[in-house]
Parts: sequence; C-alpha cells; structure tokens
Amino acid sequence: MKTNRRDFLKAAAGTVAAAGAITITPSIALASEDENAPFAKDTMVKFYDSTVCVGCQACVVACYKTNFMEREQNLATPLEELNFIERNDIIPVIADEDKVSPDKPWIVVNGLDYRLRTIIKKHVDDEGKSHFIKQNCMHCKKPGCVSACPVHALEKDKDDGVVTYDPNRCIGCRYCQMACPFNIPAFDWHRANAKITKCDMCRSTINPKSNDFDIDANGNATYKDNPNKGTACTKVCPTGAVLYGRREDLLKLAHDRIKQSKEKGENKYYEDTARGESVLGEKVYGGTGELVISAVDFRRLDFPVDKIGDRATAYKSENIQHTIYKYGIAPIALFGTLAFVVNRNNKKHHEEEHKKENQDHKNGEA
Amino acid sequence: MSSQREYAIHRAPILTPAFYGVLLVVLIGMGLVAYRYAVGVGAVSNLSNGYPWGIWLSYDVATGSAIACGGYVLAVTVYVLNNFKYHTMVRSAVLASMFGYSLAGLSVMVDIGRYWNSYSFFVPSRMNPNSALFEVALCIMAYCVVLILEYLPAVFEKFADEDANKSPKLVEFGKKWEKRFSKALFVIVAIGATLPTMHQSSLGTLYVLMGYKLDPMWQTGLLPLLFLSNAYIMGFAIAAFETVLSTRLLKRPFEEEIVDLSKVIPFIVFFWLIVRVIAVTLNGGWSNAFAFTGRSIWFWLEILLVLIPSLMILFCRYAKSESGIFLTGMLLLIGGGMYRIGVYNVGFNPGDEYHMYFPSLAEFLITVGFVAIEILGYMVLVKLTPVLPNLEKHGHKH
Repeated sequence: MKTNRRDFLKAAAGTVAAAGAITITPSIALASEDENAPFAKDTMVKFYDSTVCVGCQACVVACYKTNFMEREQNLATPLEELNFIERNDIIPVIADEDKVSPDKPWIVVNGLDYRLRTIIKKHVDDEGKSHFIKQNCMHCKKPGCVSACPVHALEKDKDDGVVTYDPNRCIGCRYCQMACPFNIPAFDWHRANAKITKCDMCRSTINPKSNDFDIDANGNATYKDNPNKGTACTKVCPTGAVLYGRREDLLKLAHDRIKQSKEKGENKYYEDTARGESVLGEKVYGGTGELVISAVDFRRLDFPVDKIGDRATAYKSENIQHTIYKYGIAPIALFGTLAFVVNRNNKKHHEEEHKKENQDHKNGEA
Repeated sequence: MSSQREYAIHRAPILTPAFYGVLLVVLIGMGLVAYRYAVGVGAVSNLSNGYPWGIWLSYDVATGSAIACGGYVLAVTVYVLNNFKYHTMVRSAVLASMFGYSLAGLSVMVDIGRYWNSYSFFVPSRMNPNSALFEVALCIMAYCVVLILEYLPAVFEKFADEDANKSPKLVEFGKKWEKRFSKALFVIVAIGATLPTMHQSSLGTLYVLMGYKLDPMWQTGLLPLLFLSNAYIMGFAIAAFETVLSTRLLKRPFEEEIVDLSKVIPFIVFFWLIVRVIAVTLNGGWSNAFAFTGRSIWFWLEILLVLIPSLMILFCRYAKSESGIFLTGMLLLIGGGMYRIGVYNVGFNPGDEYHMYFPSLAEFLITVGFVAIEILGYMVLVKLTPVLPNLEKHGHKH
C-alpha cells in the first residue's frame, strides 16, 4: 500500500498531539483539595528562635550522640518504651576521615552530612553581629521527598506530621535530595551500604510518637509529664531557643513574641511584610513543621523563600501524575486503541502481501 | 526459504579487531563498576548532597532511553500509522532499543545506593504512585521485557531456518514459536507503543517536583509534553542515523526509505519549539536566557542544534543524501540529548553553597563502558540472528 506522505505527516502530528493532550491538561489544572486543608491538630513541630540561640551547638552534639554515636544502645531499649520504625534499623559507621582521634578530638562540620541531622550555621551581618540558624528537616506539610520517594521509604505521619525515613525500604535513588527545596536529606557517599540521613524528630531513637498530651474542651493541650517527650535538641538546649510542641501552640507563641517585642518598642524580629510571613514556616512551601523567627531576613540565613514560593511543588507534579494515570484509564485506553489499530493494519498488510505474492506467482507462470 | 525472508543474518566474522577494542572499553567500565560496589558511589563519582544526580541518570537513563526510542517511533510509524515500507528497518531499531533500555536499567542499578532493596518496587504496600520515578522505573522494566519479546522472533527465525536434517527439533521449535509470536504481535507492539509514551513523558514530570532548583529556562509544567515530543525527535533521528551508520560500518547498500522517514522530523521539532517558547515565556525564563551565562549558552545550543538540521531537511537538497542524513541525524541527536542533559544536570542549581557538578573520569568511563556493551551486543547479534534487511529480497546488487 502506498501511503500519501501528507496523510502520514497528519497522522504523526495527530499522534503527538493526542499524547500531548493528556499531559497538557494537568499542568494547567487547578489546586487539589488537600492543598487548602489545615495542618493536622496534633502536628508536632520544633520552634527555633534565632534571637535566643547563643550558637553553643549543644543540640548538634546531642543529636549526633543520640542518633549516631549511641544509636545502637538507643535501639536496644525495650520496644514498649520506644516507638521504632523498624527494629533492625541501620547502625551508622563513621568514615575514616570523620573519626575523632586524640590529636583532633572534634567533629568537622561542613554542612549537613550523613552523620548530622541538624547543624547550627552562623551568619555575620554588616554590623558584625552574629545570627544563628538551625538547619534541619522542615517536616513540610506536603513534603517533596515523600512525594518523590518511589517506595514509601519516606513517609509523613498522618497524626503528628513527622517525616520519617525507613532505610529498609530505601533504594538509594536520591530523588528525595533532588526534590527537597531546603536541601536537607544527606547521602552516605563513602559507603557501599549507604543511607539517607535526615531529622525524624528522634522518632527512631528517643522520642516516641507523641500521644503525650490531652486536648481539653477548649481545644488547648495539657501536656502530661512524659520523660520521653521531646527531641534530643529540644531537651538539651540551654537557652530554650528550640522548643518542641504542638504546631498550633508554638505558632501562637512565635506571634506573641513578635507582638511583645513590638509593644516594648524593641522590634527585634524581622518581619517579611512583602510575603506576609513573619514566622518562617507559616506559609513557605505550603507551610512547614518547623517554625523559625529571627532578627535578620530569612533569605540571608540560606532560605530562598521567594524562589521556593508558597506552594509545594508536589501538588503540581502529583496533579500531572494523577491526571494521566487516574485509575490507569488513559494508558489502558491508549493501549486498547493502539492494539485495535495495529491489529487492523497488520492484517491488511498481510492480505496485501498475499495478493502480491499470488500475482508474482501468476506472472512467473505466464 | 531464507531468500524470501524480510530480514537476513549479516554474514561477517564476529571476532574483528573492532570487537576486541570495544571489549576493552567494556572491561574498563565494568572494573570501575566493581570498585563502586566495593566502596560506594562517592568513591567513583563527583556527586554531592547538592547535586545527587549525575550523568548516569542524565545520560544513561534520560538521554540513553531517548536514543533508544528508535524502536518505539518505528513501531508507531509502521504499525500504527500504517507505513509498512519502513518495516525492514524495524528489527534493527528494536535491537538497538533493547540494548539502550536494558543498559539504562543496568546503570540505574549502579547509580542507586541501596540496590538490594529494589524489590520494594514490587511490594504493594511500598508502591508510591504519586512518584513519577515509580512510574518511570516500572515502565522501563516492563518495556525492557517488551523489547526482548519484540526481538525474539529473530531468534526463532534463525532456528526455523537451520538445517532440518541436522537439528529437526530446533527447527520445529523455531517454527512453532515464530507462528505463536506473529499471532500475538499486535498485542506486543501495542504495549510497546504505550509504555514509552508513558515513561518518556514521566522522565520530564520527574523534574516538575524540583521547583526552583531547576532554572526557569527549563522548569515548566509542560516538561512531560516536551520530553515526549523530544523522544519522537530523537527516535526518528536515531532511526535514520543508525541506518546510515550500519550502511557505512557493515558496508551495505544505502536504504532509500530513510530519506522519506526523516521528512517528518522538522514538524515535530517545530511543535517542540512552540511548546518550548510557550513554556519559557510562562515561566519568565527569557531574562536568564539572554544573560549569556554558561546555562544560557547551553539553552541556545540545544535549540539551534535541533532547529538547524530541521531547516536543512526542509530546504536543503544535501540533507537527502547519505552524508546529509548522517549529519542532520547527528545534530538532532546532540541537540535533543543536550535538552535532556540541560534539564537533568545543567539547569539544576540547588544553591550557591554547593560546587557545581561535573562528572569524574570514572563516571565517564562507566557510562562509556555501558555504551560499549550496547555496541558490542549489536555488532554480535546482527551477525548471529536475522536483524538487518534481507538484501536479496529487496533486489539490491552487491
């Protein structure tokens, strides 16, 4: 059969356009429903007040000790006392270059890495004043890492919003690192048995899932005296710069502090009036499970808030995925159509070949 | 019998000097892979926490699978758009695609840090359909199987054409399965045309999640559409390029069919360009594009390298000659590949505190090793099984 070239081009363009149509639709689709839903009532967060922090890094050491050095002992504690993700969690190994020796009894910190779930960074402003910022997982409302992880190794707890990591599921693809707008997850590059390191609010070591408060009739939390409550960093902080609690309460506390400082006429907190976010984490990336107030612009503390924006990118990419693959309708329909067309074309082709062969045969005889 | 077949075995010695040369490259690459398994990804690569994805994903998976789209676009052209005159080119394209895709899969196993957990993809409670990567992974695995199924008839044909007196059972086996496969062909082809449509677009969706970390020149919700149409450009280009290449290297006569086939490319390129311009405009990427940084030069190159060959195909008679097809095909492949690497590596910027990623020598050698496996496998299999067009049937003269 001779196909007209114009027909061929038309059909080719048609195929591309049809396949494209399924992919265009979702990219202009509207926001999904859960985007506007509020945080879960029991969402547990850390609240960091940069103006109170003295930069002693006790939190870094406590976190390192709890989740790295003494991880083995912590994991060996009876299950009834602690809530682990998995019992056979991985015990970290320190790389040779990171080992503490008598000649250099300190840990060298160059940003978050496979050992450190949290670090304190220092920023010196134009007046020579130091400002500190605690860098760790923000436990976002719609975490990019959780959306990215193909095997649910990263999961966000439905009740308290903690983003946990399970090395027994992780395939080490590092899509979480690519997807995180705050560049938090760290990978163990120097080991054959590598894993991702990120803050899980000490969920896998010393901080059980928090059912450690009751909510009274007015909706206020009354905390029980639970010795396990809190993360390593919040327990150890000498100045109370980092606190652990319900998001609602701590957000209120943050706003109160800003308000009080204004009333006193100190105005010691930076307020991002342009974006309407004076407490970092209230809006950025759709809201996060880490609240920060500081004296300087968040942008100078390595939070590119304008670039990150107020909407989690996961909504957009999941919209695309869901529209294309909802109940597998589009792929199955595509397959069905193709199977029909291919079968028809193939049959036609064979019939024509037969005819041609018969003709050739006749011609040969003649 | 065999002179009536559409495809024939390419009769030539297998163990040529070129074979040993390519084998050496494979061995170097695989040695480094072994080293990576012993001491970790960091020991052989320049990857860091800021730039965790390198050329093993941007080249081997994203670009490699697009280059391996020759089988996909030819299957669509022949069986879906009913152009059976290109049928003779299908099998060699399928073979190349089979190697391209399975090696994309293999290099992922080198790249991922906890490969022993990859069974997680098949555990229902662990599957995350929200993740584009999950879709890409399953789809590529499935497509590898489909490509092997599409190639298998060549093996059965070889068995069926053996000497019936020497090995009657083998001939019978080959004939039986050849028949079975030709009946099921339409299902295999239809799956084979569905899967790449899915994962080639998802390879773009992957980067929608990166948000601001991908430069506005590349970041857009239209990435899936751009990647899909780019796969078509690359697929047609490689089909033409590959044919000319095997013509030259295997010293076979020029197949005229590809001249017509490459005519469709400019139209897909223009479609891609229009979408690209819309995407960059919507995202406000033009200010970056005219900033003349390394990234913007890359941006313009990837556009020019697909635009120039398209104009050549439309308006230049030279593009219809053998060397013209070779040149335009190569330019399109470089331009199309640059777009993918542009999204995956060049346009990616996690922040100024990280050192910009540039692949290490070992990373290059591992990638080159995988490409060498591809070439080696192709070289051997065209000489063992009927893959290339049967010259006797097509009336060519030696």
